[in-house]
Amino acid sequence: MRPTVANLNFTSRKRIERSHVRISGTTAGNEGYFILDRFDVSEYEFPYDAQLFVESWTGKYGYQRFDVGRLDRLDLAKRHDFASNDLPNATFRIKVVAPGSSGKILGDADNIPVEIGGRPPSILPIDPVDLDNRVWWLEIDEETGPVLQMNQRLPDYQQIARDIEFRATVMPSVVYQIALWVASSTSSGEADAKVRRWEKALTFPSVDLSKVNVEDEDSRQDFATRAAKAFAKHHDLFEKFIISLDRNQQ
Amino acid sequence: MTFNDWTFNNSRPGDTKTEVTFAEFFNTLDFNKQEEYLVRESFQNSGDAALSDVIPVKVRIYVSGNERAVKPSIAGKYFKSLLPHLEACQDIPGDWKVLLDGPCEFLAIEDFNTKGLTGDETAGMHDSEQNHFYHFFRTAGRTDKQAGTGKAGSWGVGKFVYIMSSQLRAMFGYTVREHSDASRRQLLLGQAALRYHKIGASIFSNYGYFGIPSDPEVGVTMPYNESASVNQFKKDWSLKRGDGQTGLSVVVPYCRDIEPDNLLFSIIKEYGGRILKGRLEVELDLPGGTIELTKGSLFNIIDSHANDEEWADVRSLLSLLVDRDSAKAEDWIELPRITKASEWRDLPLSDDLKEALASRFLSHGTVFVRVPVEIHRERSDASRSAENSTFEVLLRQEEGSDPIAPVFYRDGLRISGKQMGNKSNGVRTVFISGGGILAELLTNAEGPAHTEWQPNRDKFKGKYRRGDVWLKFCKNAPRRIVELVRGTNEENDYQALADLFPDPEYQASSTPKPKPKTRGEDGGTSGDVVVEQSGEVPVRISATDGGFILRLDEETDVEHMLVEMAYARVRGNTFSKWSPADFSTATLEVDVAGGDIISTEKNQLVVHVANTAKFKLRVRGFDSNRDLRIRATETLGV
Repeated sequence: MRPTVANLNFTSRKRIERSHVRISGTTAGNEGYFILDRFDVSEYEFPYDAQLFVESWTGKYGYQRFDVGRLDRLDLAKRHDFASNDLPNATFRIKVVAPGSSGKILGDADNIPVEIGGRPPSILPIDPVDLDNRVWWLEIDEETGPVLQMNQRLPDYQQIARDIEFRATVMPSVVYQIALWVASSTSSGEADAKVRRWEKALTFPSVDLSKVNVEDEDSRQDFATRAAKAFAKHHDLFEKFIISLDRNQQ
Repeated sequence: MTFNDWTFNNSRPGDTKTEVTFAEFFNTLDFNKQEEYLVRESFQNSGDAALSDVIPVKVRIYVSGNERAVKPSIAGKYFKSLLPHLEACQDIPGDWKVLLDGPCEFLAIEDFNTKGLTGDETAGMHDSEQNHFYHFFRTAGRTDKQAGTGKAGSWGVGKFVYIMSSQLRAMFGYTVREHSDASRRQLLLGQAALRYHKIGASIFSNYGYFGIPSDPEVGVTMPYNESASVNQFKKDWSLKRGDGQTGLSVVVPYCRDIEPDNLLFSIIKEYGGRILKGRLEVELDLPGGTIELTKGSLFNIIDSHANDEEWADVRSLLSLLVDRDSAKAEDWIELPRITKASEWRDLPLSDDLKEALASRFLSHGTVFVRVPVEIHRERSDASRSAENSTFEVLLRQEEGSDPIAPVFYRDGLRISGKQMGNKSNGVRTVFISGGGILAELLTNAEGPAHTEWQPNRDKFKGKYRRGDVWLKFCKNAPRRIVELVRGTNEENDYQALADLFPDPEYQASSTPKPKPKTRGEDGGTSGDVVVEQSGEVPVRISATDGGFILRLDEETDVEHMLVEMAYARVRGNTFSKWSPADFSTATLEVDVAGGDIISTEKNQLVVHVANTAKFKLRVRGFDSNRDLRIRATETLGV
């Protein structure tokens, strides 16, 4: 039986759904800017004079904060200059703060990726955390979905995540675990939406979730194995890995 | 008045010839301007020699420029006898005759309300006595200043900035100090640091002295002390020191180019904080007029350069320091005492504290944080308790979002090398070390220029328990506290794997209009706790005052359950990020009906269900200002 998880919202802080927020970025040379081009707060019942802040984070420069203004006076087309050329690597957070001087946070949305030039962000985020002696770990949380954790003590985890040696040896296993989660899931609500998105992401010619018998463990594992194989083939992981080995030996 | 010739002691052929490299060392540093290190080093020495913490140290800087340069006929009294030695040092470039035939531009730096160079001026070897005179004139790379005693200097090489600022590699020091023997109260000695050189058959040492020669086998070159010589010197070099005014006056003859604006800026940048505290006053006597830098005049001077970015940056820094000095007790947020050096991410800081930091920053744009620390010496005996100290981190939101480097202060000295901490966008940060063992630790990690803290210094290694971790902890403090006030540390990366796992539901942007509703001041707190629940274990969880009640559906065969509890977090796995600082089951109020508690540990309970219909687990004692997450998992028992 899958564990039951309950959230008790004592503080009444609203969790703004990611689908209600969208941040788009544009870069040119070393300059960049972003716009908050979607912010739908109609169902959250914030006071009209609450203040909206957007915060960005990049590994190179840390945080920037942008005072976007009162909720009833938002200019969604306004460009916010970004000081570095690090905009494509930025992650954003939204905070709605009570009017007055209390600084009380009424609502927030976290881990919002920036969309640059129409390129979709990754459905599998990387979370740099302390993993002791492990290099990576796949964490699947009911609420947040799969997250690839990488040891924050690695010298440059982003580069390692892009290296073919890492991808070829790690990613098929990652996909296998995610596919098992998808095949086993009976979630509902927002958690279910995440499962359905992953279902789409794992759509390959020989992989069909509709043929899986959810009650049959062998069937679920077969689906996951097929997904991992199809993923590796789709991205030519083995071929690229061999080429990389040859290069390194020269 | 006639002075004696410069004295260079003979060197024996068998002696190892160690040249003076300290001067060149300063040229390798990453200071922007020569004026900056001249100000840093000279003011540092003056501050260390202060008579008291109450009376401000006064420093007078006299820049002769060409307009007030000493005429060659007068300068010749002092340097004619140095010429053959300069010419014999063939690897020091310079057209010495031309230089000495021209006007002597010079710099004089005098400090007042200071002790002067105390100690036995006849000493030719160091002993246990503190002897500032000896260490200033007769040693290189050695000092009697102890780390952790509030002294900014610690290496004994700062005095070489005077030497390197002179084209002749020479300087004079005139000091007045308290002494029971009136004839030893005022002393004048000159020093030159050249190369080992040969004149005729004689080999001479690289250090030369301007004073009263002695037999080098039994004594040292003695300073002038009689009034005629000293008064002549003071008149020739435009010194202001009166007979009874203790302190040190340094004259740098044939000074290299000094740009008055750079000098003024360097004073304010490096020591503006001390001026604003009323502990330092500066008289900058320039050919075009005199500028008085005091607590009352400082911001007016800065504002007259308002259009310059560098000046605006310094103004912002100093105004933060002013705000810090006038802050009330409630303006400060104190972290729990740190008793073991660790990574910032491993600190057991409660969410309440983080919330307080974030709220303060959002509402005021400024946060003052105090961090008490407890540091152990590495080889201290077991009976010796840890030593306490503290540091402060000041944060302020700035206009714009440019990256701003943190500024570090130790004993009033600005430590600001390029390796000191990461920049933060749009947030100004200042680290101020407290005294005692922390100041000592940081001082011992500094190099001769006092611009960096590095764990590989000989004075530092092996001296403190987890010393390298403490150092990193301090250097990272500004950046990490910025992250804390922002409410989290590192965010997820959605780009690195975007080519492998593109979001299949990504769509082009649309722009609905926001429609906030008008509600009360706090914005929509209904008073009812919202409970969201998902999963397969057949439980019903409801909120109660400061906790929750968990019941089972009647038709279920669950016998054992693991119940985990944790305060909600903005990111990551809530349960694995539970901290003992949040709560523990030992401190919670737990009641069970229709079953038993089998075990409790950390944030977990294992329960046995005896009667499904009557089973009721009630847990209370949580902070109702925090959101709570509960996970129920069927288990096989303990």
